[in-house]
Amino acid sequence: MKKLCLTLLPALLLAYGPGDTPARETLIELGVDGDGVYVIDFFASWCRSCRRETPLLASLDRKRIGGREVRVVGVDVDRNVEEGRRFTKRLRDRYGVRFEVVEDPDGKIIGRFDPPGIPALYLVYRGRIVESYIGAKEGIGTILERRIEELP
Amino acid sequence: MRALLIAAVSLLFSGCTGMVDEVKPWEKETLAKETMTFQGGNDLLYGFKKHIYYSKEGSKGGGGVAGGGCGCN
Repeated sequence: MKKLCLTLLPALLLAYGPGDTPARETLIELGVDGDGVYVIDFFASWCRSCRRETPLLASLDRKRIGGREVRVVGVDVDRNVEEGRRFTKRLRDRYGVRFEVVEDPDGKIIGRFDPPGIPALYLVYRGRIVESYIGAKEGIGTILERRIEELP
Repeated sequence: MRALLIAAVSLLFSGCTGMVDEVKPWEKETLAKETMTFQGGNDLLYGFKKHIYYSKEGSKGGGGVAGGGCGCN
C-alpha cells in the first residue's frame, strides 16, 4: 500500500489542481492574463457530456459577477483538428458561443492539468486555480457564479 | 531464494508497467465511438442481444462506456 502511494503521489503532485499556479507559458497559451477571473473548459467533440455542458458556458463569458468580468476559455482537445473546428463552429452557430477556443490536438496543455475526466473546468483567479469541476454538471453556470461571488 | 523470488516478481511487474501506457481521458476518442458499444450502431440487434443477455445472466448494465468514454459521468 505504501509502495502504491509512493508511486501515485508524484503523478498527483505533477497535475494542476485547486491551489496551484500554472506555469506562465501555460497561462499565455490559454490567453489567461493577470488578475482576471477565467473559466478554462477542456472539451472534445466526441465527448457527449461536453456537448451538453460547453453550451451552458456561453452566457457566462464576459459577464460581470461581483464586480469582476468573467472570461471563458475553451480548450478543444480533439486530435482530429477538423472535427474539432466543426464542433466549435456548431457551438458558435447553434448556441451563440463566443468565447475563445484554443486547439490542443497533441494534448500538451491538458496533459499539464491531467484531469481524471472531461469535460474538465478550472476556475482561475489572479493566475491561480481556485476550483476544478470534472464531468458535466447540471446548472454549472449557477455553480460557477456562486463560487465567483465568493472570491475575495 | 526468497530474495530471488522478490526480485523476479518485481522485474515482472516493472516490465508490465513499462510496456503499458495509460490511456488518458482525452485520448478515448475511439472508445467513445458508437461501434465500440454492444450494439455497434445497430439498435435492433442490440435489443435482441440485451434481451438474451439479461435473461441468461440475470443481470443488466455494463454494456457501454458512460459519458462518451471520457472518464466522467
